[in-house]
Amino acid sequence: MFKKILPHICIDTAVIFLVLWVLDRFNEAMHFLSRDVFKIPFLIFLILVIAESVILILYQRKE
Amino acid sequence: MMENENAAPARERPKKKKQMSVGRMIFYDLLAIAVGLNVFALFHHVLPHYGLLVEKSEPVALVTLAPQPTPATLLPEELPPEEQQEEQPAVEEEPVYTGMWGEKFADKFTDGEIIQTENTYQSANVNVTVTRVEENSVIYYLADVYVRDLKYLRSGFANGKFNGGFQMIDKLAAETNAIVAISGDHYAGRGEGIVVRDGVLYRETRFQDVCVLLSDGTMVTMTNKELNLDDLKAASPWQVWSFGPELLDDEGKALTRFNSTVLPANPRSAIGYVEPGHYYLLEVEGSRGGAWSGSRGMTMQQLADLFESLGCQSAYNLDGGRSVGMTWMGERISFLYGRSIPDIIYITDTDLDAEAETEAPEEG
Repeated sequence: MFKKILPHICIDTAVIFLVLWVLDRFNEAMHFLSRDVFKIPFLIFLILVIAESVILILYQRKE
Repeated sequence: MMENENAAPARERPKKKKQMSVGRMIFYDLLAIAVGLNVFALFHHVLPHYGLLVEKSEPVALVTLAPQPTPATLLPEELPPEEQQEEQPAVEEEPVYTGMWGEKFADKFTDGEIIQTENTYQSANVNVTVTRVEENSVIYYLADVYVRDLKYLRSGFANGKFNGGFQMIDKLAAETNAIVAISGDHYAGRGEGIVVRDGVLYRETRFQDVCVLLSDGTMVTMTNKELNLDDLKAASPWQVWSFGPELLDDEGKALTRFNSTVLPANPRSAIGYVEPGHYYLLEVEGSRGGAWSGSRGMTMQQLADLFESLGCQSAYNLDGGRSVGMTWMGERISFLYGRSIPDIIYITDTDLDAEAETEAPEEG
């Protein structure tokens, strides 16, 4: 189940960060990308991407 | 046709799990993205983030306004009864002007009485007129302010301290005894930006354009590159706000290029400077977050043009969007956007420095 959901979580989170990046370009004063409220989810996202990549590599090796 | 009984049994094909349709999958992903953005907005905009931006440096006093002599006529109750009798003027006395601009704006202040209407306040120390203007689908509130002394133009922090969190503007204004107040530069929304409030330096990291109100009442704006931090500290600033952009050039003409990307029509708050002792506080209504205030807001250019038309020498844009607000006598007069803020700029008739001096010995 986790393996099925993981790619979606990665895609969704990446899109969220893309939206925030664009917003930050328009309104730098809001500090979308420099507060802890951004940094913590971003750290979680990085860990998830690593996990997803490891799973993908293992799957490719099996094939 | 008869089935061949000797034939090998057909291999059972593994049952393929039913897959979710692509459309439904995209729908759920979009839903998750929308939820994620809303949760982010909740933590970013709404919930206070106490302690996240607590500064390590201690605040440093840059300037203390010199106490101004108060004429005896203003405080007769402090004199002994005999002296009061002796002080009975037989002939008309020469007026005694006090404060930094008591003489310059003598016609703006009273001898001690307070004259208040629904949109004006006049006393011995301040003269404030708030006007609601509605033109070209834009609504704004303009406070025309004269102060006898700079100590009546102050900044207030939420909960009374730097990094003290966030409060609704009307509550903050009521607690600071503000006659009129506008939202400030939202210093707590970021970890940088020079913060000097009422002569005390709280933070000295740079951020965008800077507005400096010096202790002689002069207000200047400058870009981040033009700012020399050592010169700034030496100049004894009474207030320094960090948001921007600056709106007027050195000759008081509206700029046409601004150091900001938030140029379209928006709710805005801003401060303008005509001459020492004479300032404008402005709150422009706009519509944000699906709430229609009846006003479409002002572009940065319109804001600059307005301050030029008011005859200001310098003007500075403060935090806008849903942070903006103006109060009159502690009551919100602007549209309610619902966001709490960390600071205000306000005009008070209370001599807070004198109050602090009288309270200090009791504490000791």
